[in-house]
Amino acid sequence: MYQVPDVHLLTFLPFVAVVLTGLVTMVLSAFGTEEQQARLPRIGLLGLAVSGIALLLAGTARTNSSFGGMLNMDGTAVWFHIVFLITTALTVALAADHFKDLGAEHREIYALLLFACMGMMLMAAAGNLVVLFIGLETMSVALYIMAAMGGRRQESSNEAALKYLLLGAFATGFLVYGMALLYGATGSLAVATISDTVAAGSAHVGYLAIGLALLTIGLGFKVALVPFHMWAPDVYEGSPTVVTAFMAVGPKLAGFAAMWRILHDAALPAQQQWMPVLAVLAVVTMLVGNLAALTQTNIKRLLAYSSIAHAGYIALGVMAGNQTGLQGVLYYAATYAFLSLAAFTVVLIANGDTNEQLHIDELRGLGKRAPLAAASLTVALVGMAGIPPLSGFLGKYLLFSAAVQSGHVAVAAIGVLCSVISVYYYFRLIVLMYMQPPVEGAQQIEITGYTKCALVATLVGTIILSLPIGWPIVLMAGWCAV
Amino acid sequence: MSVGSLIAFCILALVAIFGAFRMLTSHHPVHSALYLVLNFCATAGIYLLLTAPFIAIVQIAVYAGAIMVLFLFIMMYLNLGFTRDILDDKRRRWVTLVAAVLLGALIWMGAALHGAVTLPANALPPPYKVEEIGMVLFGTYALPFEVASILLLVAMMGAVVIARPQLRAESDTKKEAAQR
Amino acid sequence: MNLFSVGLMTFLPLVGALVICGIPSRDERSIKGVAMVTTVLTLILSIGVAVRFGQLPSDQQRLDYVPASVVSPGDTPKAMVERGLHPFQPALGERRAWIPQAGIHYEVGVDGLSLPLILLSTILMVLVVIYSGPVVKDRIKWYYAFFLLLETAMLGVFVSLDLFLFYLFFEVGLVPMYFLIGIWGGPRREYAAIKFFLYTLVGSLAMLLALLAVYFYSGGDGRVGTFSLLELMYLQPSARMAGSLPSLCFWGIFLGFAIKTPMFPFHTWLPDAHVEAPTAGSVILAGVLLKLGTYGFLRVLMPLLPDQCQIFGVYVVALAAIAIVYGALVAMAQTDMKKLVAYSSVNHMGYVMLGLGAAMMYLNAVPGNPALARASAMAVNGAVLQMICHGIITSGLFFMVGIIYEQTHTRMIGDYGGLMKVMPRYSGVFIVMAMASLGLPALAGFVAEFHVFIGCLNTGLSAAAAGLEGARTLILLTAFSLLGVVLTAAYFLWLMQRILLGEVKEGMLEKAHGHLRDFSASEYATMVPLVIATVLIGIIPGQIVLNLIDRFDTGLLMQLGRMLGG
Repeated sequence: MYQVPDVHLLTFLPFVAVVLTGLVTMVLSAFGTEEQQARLPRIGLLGLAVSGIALLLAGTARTNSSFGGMLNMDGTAVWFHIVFLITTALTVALAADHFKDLGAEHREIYALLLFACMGMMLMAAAGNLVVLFIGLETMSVALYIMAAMGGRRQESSNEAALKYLLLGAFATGFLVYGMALLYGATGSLAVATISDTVAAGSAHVGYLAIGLALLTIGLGFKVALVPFHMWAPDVYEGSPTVVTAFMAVGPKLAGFAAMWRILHDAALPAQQQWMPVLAVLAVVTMLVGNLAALTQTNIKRLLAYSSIAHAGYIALGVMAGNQTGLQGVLYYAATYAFLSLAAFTVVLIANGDTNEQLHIDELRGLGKRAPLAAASLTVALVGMAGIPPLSGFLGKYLLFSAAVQSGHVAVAAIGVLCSVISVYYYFRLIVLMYMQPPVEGAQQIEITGYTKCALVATLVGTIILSLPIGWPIVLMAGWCAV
Repeated sequence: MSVGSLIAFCILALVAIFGAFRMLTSHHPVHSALYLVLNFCATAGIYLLLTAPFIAIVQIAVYAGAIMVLFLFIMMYLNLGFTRDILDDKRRRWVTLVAAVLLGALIWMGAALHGAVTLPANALPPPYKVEEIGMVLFGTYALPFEVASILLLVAMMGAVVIARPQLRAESDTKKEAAQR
Repeated sequence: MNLFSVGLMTFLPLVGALVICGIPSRDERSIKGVAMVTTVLTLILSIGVAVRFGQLPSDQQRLDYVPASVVSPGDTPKAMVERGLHPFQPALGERRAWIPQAGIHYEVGVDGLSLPLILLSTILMVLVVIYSGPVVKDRIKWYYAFFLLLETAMLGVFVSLDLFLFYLFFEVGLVPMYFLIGIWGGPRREYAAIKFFLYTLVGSLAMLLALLAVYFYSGGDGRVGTFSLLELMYLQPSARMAGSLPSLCFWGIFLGFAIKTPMFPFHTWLPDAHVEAPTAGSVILAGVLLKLGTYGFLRVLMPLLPDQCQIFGVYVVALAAIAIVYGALVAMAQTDMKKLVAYSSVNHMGYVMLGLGAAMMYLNAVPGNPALARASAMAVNGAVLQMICHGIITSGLFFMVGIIYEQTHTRMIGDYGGLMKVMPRYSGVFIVMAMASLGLPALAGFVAEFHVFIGCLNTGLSAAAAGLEGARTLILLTAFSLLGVVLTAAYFLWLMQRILLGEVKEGMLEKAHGHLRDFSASEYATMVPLVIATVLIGIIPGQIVLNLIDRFDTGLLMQLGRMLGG
């Protein structure tokens, strides 16, 4: 009667590494000595590195599936895991430098980041909707807490956290309801079984459609697709910038990984049902995100709207649901992670340690005040605008061509139009940094320690992804996944 | 579904809806909490109708019991008084109503699209006995079960972190005073 | 592996740019040195490439050369391409798999069309570096790095034979130019820079979508699509497209190149960009970047969509005719010298498009009608030659405006007068350049314009003789365009009269702190090669470039004509 689950330790090791590190940092952050606590970021980075190595080992394992199909460590999962580990590592580095001034009590952020990372990894590797849901909740709860770690700006941070919590809970409601209906339609929560049932045509059509719709709405909240994006600008603005940086990348990409698992892995045979819906969502998201970003003067809000717009581009790849689409989603995920983290790192640098709101005018003359930071932000912005040869171009190229391939030429055309719009607000920042004199009394900014490492790492990552030599490797990664 | 269970279901469903509705419209938080208990109990009854006794008992023990006691305890501890009805805002009331009706219509349409609900042939019969549930939890669903502990741990950390800043602000003022 | 390879020539400037990035910005001498050495080496490499090209047997001096050894008897290149093979061996070509899963290759080569443009770019880059040495003082490290990056982008466009690669280089050039205008430009530089960027980007993205459609239709039946220009030319995927898609593709690609060229009515970014750009930026913009557009028409649009070109060619001719007359009229009304030269570019690029448009109109009649073939080839010859001549002459004029502006800090025509008395040598060179631009015989501009007009008229006449449609329209539009020649002469003569002749204006001297010096050494070094080129092309065009161009053009037209089943 009792069945021992077939645990393939090798495929499970990356999770174990992250969780154990999380537990160690949690205990140390509560009971450790001062020196031990000063070492927390290093411990966190070490754990993430170990997990990365374990991930490479997992990639060589003979089987993808673990825990009786609960985990599905295929190419897509491994690729997303790498992105999540890098994102978390960079955020840990940023937190090490920029959370000090917020007060000693927030050293729990390392443990929370690691647990959130584990949640995201579970979402990307979920072979069962229950695993997906628990991963998503672990990630979300950790994020609600981190959003509230406002330090001196506790009030706005609290507001952001509360808003995030309420809307997150709302989204969770949709998600659970959707999963229940999906179970009702197919009699299973296992992705593979759902897919078989749908393909065989024995699923309850109505419940399947509504379940998928509710799941899309729930995940739409998580990745901030319009019209479920309302929370994003406020929450991004109010949360501590380090957390915002993480929020704009990790959960969003994890949400897309989950969306791919549900819509593609589980419900591809029903593509005709969800494709038009996602196409509309993608179009609206791209338009609203880019147009709203045009008028922003607060840099965090600007980046928030830009991240909404990017969600729209990635949604194109999910919508297409074909091989190019998957490549596009995977490649764009990595690209966007580096570009977005670079941008937020520069926001942190330009902000100094005040953690106040940053008006874009304060970027004036950054080219002279902090050349490395300005250059990184320029690379990030040009990359996000999708100008070749930077990696954003190939990413958008893949996503748009996936859309064209799936017969949505008009949708791709709107996407292209939106990237033109985005150039305007991205380049406005470049203009400020290089073509206008600094604000009076502004001082040179020294970039040191972890922040410098993080900045250089994002740059190197972007450049590696942009290199023509790197492209085939990246595309091969997409190939393995199909 | 037999006629008897249909009648039972209708009554339980109406009670559940009534409980949820009154929970929203009550002016006193303790009343709200008690209506919520009513709602939970009715839901537990529906679970029983679905021959899921374990879930029904868990529903009552955990939600109606433990969690609601915690709610009530905190309300009384903080001495929360009368609150403004969240549905006082007329517009909001209508929006809520329309949203609820729409959602209901959506589900009904979904059901109507395919006639009566029949589970696919490959669906396993749900486990009824506690023992079976335990087997499934520690067998097939061992991974999510274990990860749920991490989720709870994170939530606990959250409670600690969010409850603490006040202490720190106080200690800061003390430090500042000492420095002066 | 020969040292004078296309790839090395293309990427050497990029290496130079990276080296400059590594030099500390204090070390200005090294930065300038590296820039100079890189551009000169690139020039030498490009000359080496040209010499190698010249040594090839004449049947191999083309891109779609298929060696006899590759084709088995009874087989044709077209059939081979349809089977997924790539039989072509372009002149000095290289082909490597890049992203073969998506049909993307690193594929380069040169022919009679790209080679003159490559030489034009490398020469202008050397002159730009010479000129900028004493003039530019702010952030010179990035200034030279951006120029070198721009050079790689330009050369890359001219040598690419893979559309993805082509598009990549086409776009890469935008960023350095954006910064060159935005950082080292005039007072309204931010506006001009973003306008330039957005206009060009809209066009090129429209083009990207069209190229994607072509790419997808080149695949199918379990075959990956291809971006190889040569394969696409033989595959003609547009024939498989249904409904209005081929037309949409045409207008998408058209928009991309028309904005870059710029054709009326997409030209409005040009005057702003030119006026605000630093002199060297204007030179490269007018000299090379505008040619990317017209080059694209010949290299990409005509081979990919010959059918649509034939249908819509008459609109191209009409727009070109409007651009010629409109550009000349607006140029006449300018009070700012730089703006005047900018509008003269609209006018001159109109001649290029007129020639190309005329050739587009009767592609399928070319193989069967020798008179028409000669006339069409002549029109395209003129157009391509005009690209080169405009590159040389307008660059020269921008240099001239820049040289005087550095001393007086004004570009208003009204501020000048009697320069002939103060700066005789400057005025002499100015006259040569202006005369070349207005089309004085024995100078470069005349040869090109003459070819365009005679070519267009003859195309119209032979088409009329063969009873083809639209011949009368073509003749009328060509005649209308001739008006532009007269207007061009008028505004240049008027310009010379106002700034060179008459009394010396006191205000002008005051603005230059009382003294205007004539040419300096670096200015001589900049202008003399351009003057020599102008005169040589004016006197012996055939020996210099025209024979080369002619072989390419005739070949291309015959090829396209055959493909259309004429």
